[in-house]
Amino acid sequence: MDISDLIKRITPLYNEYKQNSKTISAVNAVILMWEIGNILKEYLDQNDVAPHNLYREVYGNSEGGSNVARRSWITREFQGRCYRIRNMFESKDFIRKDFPSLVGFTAFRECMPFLDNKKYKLHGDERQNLLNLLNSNNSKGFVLKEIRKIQANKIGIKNSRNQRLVDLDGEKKLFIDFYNYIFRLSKEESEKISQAFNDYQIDAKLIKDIANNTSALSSDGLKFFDFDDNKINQISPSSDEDQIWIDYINILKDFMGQSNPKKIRRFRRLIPPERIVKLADMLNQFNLK
Amino acid sequence: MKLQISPKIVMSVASLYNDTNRIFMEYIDNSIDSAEAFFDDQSNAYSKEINIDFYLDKKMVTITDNCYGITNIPKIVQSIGDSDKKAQPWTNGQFGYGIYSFMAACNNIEIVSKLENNSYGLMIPIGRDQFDTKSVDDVFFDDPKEVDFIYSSGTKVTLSKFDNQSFKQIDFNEIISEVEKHFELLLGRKNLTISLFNGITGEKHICKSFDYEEFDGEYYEEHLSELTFSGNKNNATYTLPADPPVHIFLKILKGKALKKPPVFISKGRRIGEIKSIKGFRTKYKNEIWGHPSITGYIDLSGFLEPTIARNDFRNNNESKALFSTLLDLEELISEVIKDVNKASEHKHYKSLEQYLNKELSKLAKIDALNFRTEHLSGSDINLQSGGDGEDKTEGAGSEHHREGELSGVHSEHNESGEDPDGYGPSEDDGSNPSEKDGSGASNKEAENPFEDTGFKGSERKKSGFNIEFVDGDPIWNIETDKPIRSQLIGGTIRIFREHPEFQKRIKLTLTKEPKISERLITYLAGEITVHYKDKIQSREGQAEYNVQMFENLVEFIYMFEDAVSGLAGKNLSDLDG
Repeated sequence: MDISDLIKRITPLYNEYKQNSKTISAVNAVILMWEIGNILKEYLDQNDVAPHNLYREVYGNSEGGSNVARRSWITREFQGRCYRIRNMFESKDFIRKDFPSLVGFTAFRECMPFLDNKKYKLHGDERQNLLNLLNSNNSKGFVLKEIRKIQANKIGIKNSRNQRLVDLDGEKKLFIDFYNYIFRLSKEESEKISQAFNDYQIDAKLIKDIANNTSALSSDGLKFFDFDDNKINQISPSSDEDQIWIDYINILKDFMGQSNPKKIRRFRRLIPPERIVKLADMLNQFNLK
Repeated sequence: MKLQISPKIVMSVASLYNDTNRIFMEYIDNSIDSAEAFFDDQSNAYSKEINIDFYLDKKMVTITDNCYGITNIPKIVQSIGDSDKKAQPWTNGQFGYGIYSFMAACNNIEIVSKLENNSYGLMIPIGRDQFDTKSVDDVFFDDPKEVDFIYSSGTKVTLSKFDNQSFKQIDFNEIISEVEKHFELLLGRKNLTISLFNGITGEKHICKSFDYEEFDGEYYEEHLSELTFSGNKNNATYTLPADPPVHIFLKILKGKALKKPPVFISKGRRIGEIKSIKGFRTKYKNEIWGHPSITGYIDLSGFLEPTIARNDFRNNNESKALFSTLLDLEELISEVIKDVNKASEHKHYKSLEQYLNKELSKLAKIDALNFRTEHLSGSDINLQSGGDGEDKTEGAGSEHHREGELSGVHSEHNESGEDPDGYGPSEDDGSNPSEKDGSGASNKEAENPFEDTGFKGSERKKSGFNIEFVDGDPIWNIETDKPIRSQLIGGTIRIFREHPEFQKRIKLTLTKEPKISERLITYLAGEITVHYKDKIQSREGQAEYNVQMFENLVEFIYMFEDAVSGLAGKNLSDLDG
């Protein structure tokens, strides 16, 4: 079975899940996901491929320099969750057994680490109490609140999703400074802009290269173009404003030199793609002016 | 009094006038000529207030002035074709036929004129029917009668007994436009007022000279006191003096289609649009001289002699020298027009964006697909604080921007609606049950660091997308190593104008203005559909690879194409409204 066949097999189940998302009961959603997970498991058992690599194959957007285009609408996270649910329950019948009246899918999802993560998995009474809570007649809000308490007790440490973003604070600050500088410059008269570029020895081609490489940060799978180092060397860093061009070009060069898009993706969490393309647009406007 | 010229000649010269509104210009022109005695070139002012009043009534038209008056009224009928004004360089009339232009539209003219030193005015009535004879000997006029006149000096011309068709042709707005165009330089003189009254509607209009300063743009101005041209035979260069100098004033407007092409002016009167002068032979009549953004005039000050119909120039060395000068200028003007076209295009594409947004919004309403951002003015929310000024569903650090999830070459996905119980489909993988709130970095920023979002106004999501035409180079897909045609960033579909496929579908008019072709409409519909359907699939699930999938896709293309089909054949500038 190749990936296309795998997607074909998952598709009807996935679509049933998506198209009934507002009406499907939580336990039936878990069962549907189990079925998808079962298909994934079959594939993984028959092929020498790691789960996360398979998810990338199905969805696309890989980390490397190839296979970056999207292949389907079935996200990696969704596949991962399905596969985990499949591994939690040997048979889908066990789902109904454990969750005869599951209060909500979110509550279930939040409890997943207590059901399958080796480190946090609950056993005995603790597990039973959790199942009781998930099957209780309490409101969804109440149940979630209780789950948060268990999470706080059992897990405690919150791994911030921003923990690696601090590494890019410098790039973020410089982007913002450069963006604001370009914005201010764009408000000047054409003559003044021309004069500024003459002073800094920045020509239309270099501006175009900066604009194009800035645009290429806006999403995955876009091509960067090499800078002409001779043009960069011509910029004389005699003032802060000259230096900001060099610093920004260096950031772009650093991104361009990355072997995978992780760093650029992190950067996009700090700087929205909308801002990235807007900076490129402002740079392109200089050439028009 | 006896006529001294064939009546048939007078009738046939009058027949050159085929627009009634144009006939009135002749009489206003005569009034202006008659005011020259009071004009001082140095101060560009008349020594007394000159009033020329045009009055339109149900049956007649009168033109009254307080100018010098006619020195020799009998000569009007006795010496047609031998005007006194012919020898005067400062006046426009040459032949004395202009006063007979009435014959093209009505039967009667009555001329009353008074000189300053006379205690009375002289009145002479002329009828077209008097000329309806073969023999000059059959035409007689009564001697002028002594009458009162309202001004100390001046002339009053009354036209009456209009032909029905000719009277219907009279258009007050057209007359306003004709006067202001025809005498645009003269109207800039101090102490001259040309007033137009419509006695039928009660409307009154004081004519004004055209204000070129009102419009932003690049201009070219030169006063040429000599003009050169090369002879055909030996390539020798000839230089001709121009005294007073020929004044060239051309303005290329930025982002504005004025549709007032540059004109030739002779002795303060418009001869015609440069593009319409047959004697001026150039490849760029429309591209340059008829470009909607170029305006201005070339004031010949008598350097060239217009033909009797005043719509062209005689073919002589002067006209060769002038036209040769203009041909030399074309390259320079062409360069400026290119820049202006670029600037205008940007504005025009903004209008096209709005049009497409509107139409796409209607279709997207059906699917409840809301990605278009609308800023509401008048609210008190300052976007500079407490956010990044961007859509929160797409902004940096929002839960939709989890690493590794979003990007695609064509689109960036938000997984949505994944949660069957409506709690929202957490984007995390569930391995660590924390941080479901997706608190991204910039959401936590108290201050928005970007300086261009200081406006006030809250945001809301509307149906459709924001469509944007991008000026710069298209970005390239790393896998296909080809430029991409469009991309979806947040709620904005960015369409690259410089993409070769886009450019192939752009038609240019003779003035190099982009025109919307049907092929371009199909292209836009296709590009927009890709992103539209991608978002639909994100919501509804995995597209199944069968013929239905392609049918759905094409159906939407056709729907959108149909919705915007009204654009086909339009110039982009037509969308500016």
